[in-house]
Amino acid sequence: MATETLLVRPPGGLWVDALRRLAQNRVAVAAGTVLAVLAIAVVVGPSLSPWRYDQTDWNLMAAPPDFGSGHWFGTDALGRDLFVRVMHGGRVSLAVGIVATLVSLLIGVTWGAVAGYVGGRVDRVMMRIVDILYALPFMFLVILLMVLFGRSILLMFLAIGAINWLDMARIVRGQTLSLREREFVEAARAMGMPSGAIIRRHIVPNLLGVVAVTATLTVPQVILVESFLSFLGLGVQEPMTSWGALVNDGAHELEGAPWMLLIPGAFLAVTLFCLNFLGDGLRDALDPRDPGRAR
Amino acid sequence: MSVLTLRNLSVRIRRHGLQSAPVAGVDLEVGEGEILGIVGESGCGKSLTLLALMGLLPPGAAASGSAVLAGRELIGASAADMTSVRGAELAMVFQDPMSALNPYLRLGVQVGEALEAHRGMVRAEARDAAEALLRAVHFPDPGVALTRYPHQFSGGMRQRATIAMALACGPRVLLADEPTTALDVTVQAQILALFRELREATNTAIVLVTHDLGVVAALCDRVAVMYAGRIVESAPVDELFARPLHPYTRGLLDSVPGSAGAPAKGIPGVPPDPRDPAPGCAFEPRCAWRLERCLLERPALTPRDGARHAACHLEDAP
Amino acid sequence: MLRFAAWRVLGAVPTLFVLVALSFFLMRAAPGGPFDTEKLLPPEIEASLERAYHLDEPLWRQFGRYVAGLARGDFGPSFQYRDYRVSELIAAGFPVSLKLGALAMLLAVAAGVATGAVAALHRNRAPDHAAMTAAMTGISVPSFVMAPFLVLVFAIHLDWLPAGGLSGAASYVLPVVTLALPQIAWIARLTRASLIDVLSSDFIRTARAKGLPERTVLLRHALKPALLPVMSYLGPATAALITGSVVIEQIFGVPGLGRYFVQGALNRDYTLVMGVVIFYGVIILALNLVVDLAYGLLDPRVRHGD
Repeated sequence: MATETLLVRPPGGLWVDALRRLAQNRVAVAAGTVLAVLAIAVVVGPSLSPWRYDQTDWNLMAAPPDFGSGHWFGTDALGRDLFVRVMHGGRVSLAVGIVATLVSLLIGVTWGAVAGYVGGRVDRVMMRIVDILYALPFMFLVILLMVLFGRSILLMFLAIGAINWLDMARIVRGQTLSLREREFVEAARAMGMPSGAIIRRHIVPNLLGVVAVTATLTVPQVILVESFLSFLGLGVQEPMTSWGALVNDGAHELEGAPWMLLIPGAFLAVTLFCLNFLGDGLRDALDPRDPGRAR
Repeated sequence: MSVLTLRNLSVRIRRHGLQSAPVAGVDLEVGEGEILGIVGESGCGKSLTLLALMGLLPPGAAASGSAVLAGRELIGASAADMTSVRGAELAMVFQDPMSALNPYLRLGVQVGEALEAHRGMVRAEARDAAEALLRAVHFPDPGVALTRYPHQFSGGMRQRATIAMALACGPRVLLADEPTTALDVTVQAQILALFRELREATNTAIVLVTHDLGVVAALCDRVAVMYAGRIVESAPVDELFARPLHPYTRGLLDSVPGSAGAPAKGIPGVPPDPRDPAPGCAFEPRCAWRLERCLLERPALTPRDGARHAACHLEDAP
Repeated sequence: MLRFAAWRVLGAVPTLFVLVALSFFLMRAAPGGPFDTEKLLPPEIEASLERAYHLDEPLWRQFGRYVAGLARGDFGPSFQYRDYRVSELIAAGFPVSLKLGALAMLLAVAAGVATGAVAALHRNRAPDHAAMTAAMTGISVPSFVMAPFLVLVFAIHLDWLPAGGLSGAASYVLPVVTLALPQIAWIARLTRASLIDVLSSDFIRTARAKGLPERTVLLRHALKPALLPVMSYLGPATAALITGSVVIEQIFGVPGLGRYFVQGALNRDYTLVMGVVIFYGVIILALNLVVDLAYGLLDPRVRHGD
């Protein structure tokens, strides 16, 4: 309907502008490229090597990286090819990062948008709940959960996702509050649009920017939590592995086989590094208060 | 005797490769103990002019030209020189007294510290001097006020405090950037009266930037009209109001509702973009008296009868 | 001010309650009992054990019993170390962790603020870029990667520092530094952003307009407002240090509370794990409260009412 397009602030304009500014941020672009390469690598990588991730090479246990031997990253103490394990571990770490972030995104956006839009007492109650939960030592509760209910990967997704939705909820609520007062929402309401439709059609698209930034910065936090759990031995089960678990293995073999720590550690660090830079870059690109922006 | 002389003062801003000159050659003279008003629309460069004098331009902005205060060149002076001038010879009062005061420091500290820095007073002496200053600006209980924080006072009292703060070391010139704009109308009148009173007492010259002609009429001895980064007219207040020589001034006066019984008119068009200056007169597109000359040749600020100046090709008043 | 304080304290109570209740009911909801780990016990013994641990009572009564115990400082018996009560284990491990944590916090604040301030004062120039890249590294490299890495470099290759244990000053260096690193990074970023923000505010412009020397502007006018957000961060920072200590103690073989916690987690010692969760939870809550109140004291707008 023509009137609807008039009422909705064209997201195209905002996005094109932001994308352009993001593209000018060389660090963020580099970070994004590295991430893309990594993502492709973990998907494609294992098929490049003849070894499976749980397969033992009885001739070359704890062997250093060597192109000649076919073990590009070396082997671990049990003779398993490290390259394949790092790639598989990357799949798990990245998958957890994405899925758990989606979980936290879903909960957080819904909670925050409803609280911000409905306002009044409902908002106060909902945000009070957020405040109460915010003060809990979540890492410990997650560990408690993992201890009590076993190490299922599904539980891990949920538990980790449940940690970060609070930040997302707060941010989304703040944004929704300010959006609610904008003219195009008032106009839609005057037209008789039901609340649900207003939230869906008008508020949510304009939340995308702030959600994208928060989500991008949530992924590294989530990956960190999963790695932390795996490092402690509370994450994925053997022989499945993640970067955190690989670092744990590596920490035990420091003197004899330092590559077992350094290689997965480097992958983990670089991924987190790039995600943080990308998130920062996105935030700068979308922030209307950026002094560089022509006004 | 002129205490502050500006010659061709310009401010250039370079941001992301784009250049603009929001102040493009200002000539002004301020006499000792004189209250000079600079009036113009938002964005005409009046605030930047004051900041240039203080050496407090935002990053990316640079001043050129000359501004001489009691024999001392301000433009291009070293940071050390400017630090010794600011507060002592040249002081400034800003528009919003709430944000201009440090919310975390007591009033006494803030009002007195210029004396500690410039006159070498110790804390106790400066405190006493601060109390006297607050009394001079009519704080009802100066001793107690010293121990309070800015947020505990009303807007009017805060502005009085910033004025006291600025005048602490007895500067020759006080710059005021829209000092009453953020205040209630009733309080505005009080502050203006305070300026007059202080000028009588200390003979400090005041340069007052404002967009409000009422303020100019109430307080100033002389007034300069600024448009698109330049002074287009300057004159003693009464003469300017009686017989403006520049079409823009004419338009400004006509824009005040109720003047001469006629309804407010407004000036059609918008001010020019400082990034794209025209070769001729900057006001030409909006001028109802424009000549062919105006499009090609920018009029210089020339002396007219009396102590007046105007930058216009018209020989007589519009 | 008093109302502010009272309100804040009152606000912490629901969180505490949720924490305790959550821990308690989670534990009860877990599959299997505390005695499932070992060989199957004959039913009579299992029944009498259940009676001894009050596991046969209705849930709400068990909860009441637990809360009453907590109020006395009794977290119940450890299921793993049968001769000890959890509170004894906490009392043994906590002082060690506290020492490490306090040192790390001091280092984090000192190094973080210094780095952030340098970065802010040299904004967009070399020191700033260097400092912020280092900070980004500190945030991105997890402590369980950094710790073994530093051990590899300083203990194994260079042999300057011991790789573990806590005997003598040298052995504190690696654990404290590794624990502090992420917080140094966060505090540096925070300080930089905050100082840049403060330095562009109007009251700083006023201070300069008075001709105050730049040193006075920085120390008297800018420092306090710039550091207030850092102080607020100390609450979450403590929580992060506590979390991080778990890993650090594991890697450096430090007999602190974190180590007990991990061991308890791996051995399904429910009461120990729960006890530590609640203990640390209370500490974090208390510290957040203290920081909140301190902020109120330092900000005159709160202290002297609005």
